[in-house]
Amino acid sequence: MIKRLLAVPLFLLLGACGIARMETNEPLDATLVRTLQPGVTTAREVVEKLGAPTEVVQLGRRSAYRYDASSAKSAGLILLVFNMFAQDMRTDRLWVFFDEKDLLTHFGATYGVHRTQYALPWEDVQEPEDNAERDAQRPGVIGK
Amino acid sequence: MRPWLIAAAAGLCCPSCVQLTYMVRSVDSPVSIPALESLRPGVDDLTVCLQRLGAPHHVFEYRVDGMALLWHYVDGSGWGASVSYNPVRQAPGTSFNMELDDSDMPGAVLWFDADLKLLEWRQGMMRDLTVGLRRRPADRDQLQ
Repeated sequence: MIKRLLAVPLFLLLGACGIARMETNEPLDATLVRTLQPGVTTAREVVEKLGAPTEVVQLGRRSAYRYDASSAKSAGLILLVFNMFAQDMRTDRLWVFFDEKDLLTHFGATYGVHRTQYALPWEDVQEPEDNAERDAQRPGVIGK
Repeated sequence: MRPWLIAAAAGLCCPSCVQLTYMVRSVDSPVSIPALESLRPGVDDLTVCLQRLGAPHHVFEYRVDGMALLWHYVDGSGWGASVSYNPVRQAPGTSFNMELDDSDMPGAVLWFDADLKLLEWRQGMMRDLTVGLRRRPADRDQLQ
């Protein structure tokens, strides 16, 4: 009888693995972003190309628009009483800066959503080789 | 059969009561220290800074026509524990949660003057770096 009782928690200890994925907005189109030209492109043209920004910030006479997307991947080992989880979240970010006449003066972009990966807690998700390989596969990210 | 073994088995049978969690979280890549250290206040401008660091996470107005750019990331782990007890389904239950991870984020802030020349950069924790950054946009009178 006692052996049977012990078998129940031992079975529960076998546990399970779980993964989850969450995304916000479409990844930014790096090739489209590269067509922006400071001194030439207007705020209206930026919005026509990229759509509505996530945020608009007033900077005195200037203004800045933020475009972003995010991707989060989680993996976990669920042992009921003891659980382990790892979450890797990366973002694509684009800031476009305009002067008082709404002419593009500067822009900066960072692309990260393609680097997101499922990993267990003891794995490194920031390996440069991994990132370089994934960058090479995403159009427009390399060779800015 | 040893009593402690039975107690352990009984404990494992009620995993909803006690849970211990280890969580690893990574959000974006760490700010590049060599890139930060290569920036020269009074010499480098917004274009150079965006090229070296990519797009910031947040942009704030600074002294009306200046701006402050903020980068942050998460690369950490922590323990959590939760205990709950609800003997009768209809009755109010009790629960206790504890998170032992550090919720602050490391990052960097760059300040620019009205000519968009780099004034200063600082690296540290968000709780220190963001002091005074969040303000209302300048009034129309201040823009004259």
